Amino acid sequence: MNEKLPFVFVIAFPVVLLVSGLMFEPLPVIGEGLLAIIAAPSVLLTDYLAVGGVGATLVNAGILGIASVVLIYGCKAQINGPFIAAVYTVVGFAFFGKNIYNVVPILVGAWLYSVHQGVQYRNVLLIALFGTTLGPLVSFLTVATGLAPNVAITIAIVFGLLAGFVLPPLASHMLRFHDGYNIYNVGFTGGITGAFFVAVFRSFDFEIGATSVLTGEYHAFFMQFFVVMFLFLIALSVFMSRLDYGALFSALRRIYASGGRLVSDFVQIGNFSGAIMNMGVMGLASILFVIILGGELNGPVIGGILTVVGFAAFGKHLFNCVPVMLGVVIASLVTAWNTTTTPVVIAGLFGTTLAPVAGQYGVVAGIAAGFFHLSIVMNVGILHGGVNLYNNGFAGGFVASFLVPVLDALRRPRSNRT
Amino acid sequence: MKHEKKKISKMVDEILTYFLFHYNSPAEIKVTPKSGAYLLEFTFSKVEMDKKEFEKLKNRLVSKRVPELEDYYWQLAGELDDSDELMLVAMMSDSVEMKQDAGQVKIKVTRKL
Repeated sequence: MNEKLPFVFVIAFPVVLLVSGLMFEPLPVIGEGLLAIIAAPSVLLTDYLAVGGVGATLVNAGILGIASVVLIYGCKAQINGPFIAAVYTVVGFAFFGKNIYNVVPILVGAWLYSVHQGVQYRNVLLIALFGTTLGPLVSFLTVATGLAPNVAITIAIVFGLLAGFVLPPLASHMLRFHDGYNIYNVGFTGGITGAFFVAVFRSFDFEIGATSVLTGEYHAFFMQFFVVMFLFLIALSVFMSRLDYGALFSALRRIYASGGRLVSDFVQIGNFSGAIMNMGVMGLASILFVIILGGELNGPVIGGILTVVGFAAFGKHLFNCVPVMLGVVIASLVTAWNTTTTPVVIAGLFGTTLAPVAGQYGVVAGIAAGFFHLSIVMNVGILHGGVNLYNNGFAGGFVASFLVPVLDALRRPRSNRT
Repeated sequence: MKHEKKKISKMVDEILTYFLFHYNSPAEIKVTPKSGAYLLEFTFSKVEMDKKEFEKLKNRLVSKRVPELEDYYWQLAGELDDSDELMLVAMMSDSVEMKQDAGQVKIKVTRKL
């Protein structure tokens, strides 16, 4: 396969978003929208579709996605499952929390870390891209502290750089907390880092708290947009396999046989067309999940869907995700949380961070993981005040670290060689 | 590069765990620090492994090095009882040679510094 083809595939999606955004609204409206997005505190849950409008949000997502791919290409890193997941996650969260201003200090902070350690930037690039989860930390300090603008911007950039600098060593270390069973490991790391910073801010009387700015105005448009996109991914996968259905199904079988624990690169385990097929299938499954729950496609839900699609190249497939989603739904039916609300819908989508629990320990364990995940995710956000966008990854770390040792003790070891 | 020696021991851990868990094989391991590289040589005896199984294992281990992932994920190697992270060993290796002969599996791993 042509080495540039994966780059073309990954950059195509944000380019489509950018062009769609530019066609949607006139440039001055997009400019105003982007300024509104940059001026928003961006803590969870800030739907950029409500803050800046659809044109500006699409342009924001397109720019961030393209910049991510350019960084990967510039660093001479390979496009594999983890980087596909990273790009789709950045694009997804550009609908609710990441913008062209707040991600920059974090990316630069990680670069400073690589310089300090004498390693190439590409060695920390994956963590840097995922590390933009702490973008709201920069936004909040810039616009919501009540300090003079130049002081606030300086403090925001310093803390953004600091966050980017500490994330690489922390993220690698935090893997041991859950042994790779929480796919959004940087979400867990970001949660710990965010909680650390926010605790300090609160000691200086800066109060940070979550918000809820949402709109379902563009539900119908995005429903059509993403259904077409995911069907296109499936068609592309068939085309790339040169209509060799046997090889395609063989790749999918290898992907479905994987438990999904970190590091499960489906591009390597299956192949590129198998991974793309899995992405398309998981996209349609996510849309179906939202429809069944009666949710609406707003910024956070779109972010959830795109993150699931990205991680369908890096650990998630139908068989390890559905039990977790089911667990979240069951929990929402028997607890105080309303099934149709955005926090529950995104808990179901992002809760698939625990897919490896189902993949490794079976359907019942997956359902249990999803069940507990909903309660934990609704309670841990207060620790970081919403500055860590991957709150479900934060919660998933706790759920995995609690469940996995228990499940491991209950399971009889068995050989599953090659 | 940081944690280099720990990474070597994690690679040994992962491969050894795999063969102990799945085949309970007697093992000989030789780790040779050379100038600019580490050479890891494994000989596992009494391994009941058919050709198909060997080829599958070879496919999991033979891969090119991925520095952009190893610095992040290397700590996961050798952490599970059933050793599920052979792909990580592949990502941390510059070359992997494998041979199977009369119940013996020989693996030679080179990791450049």
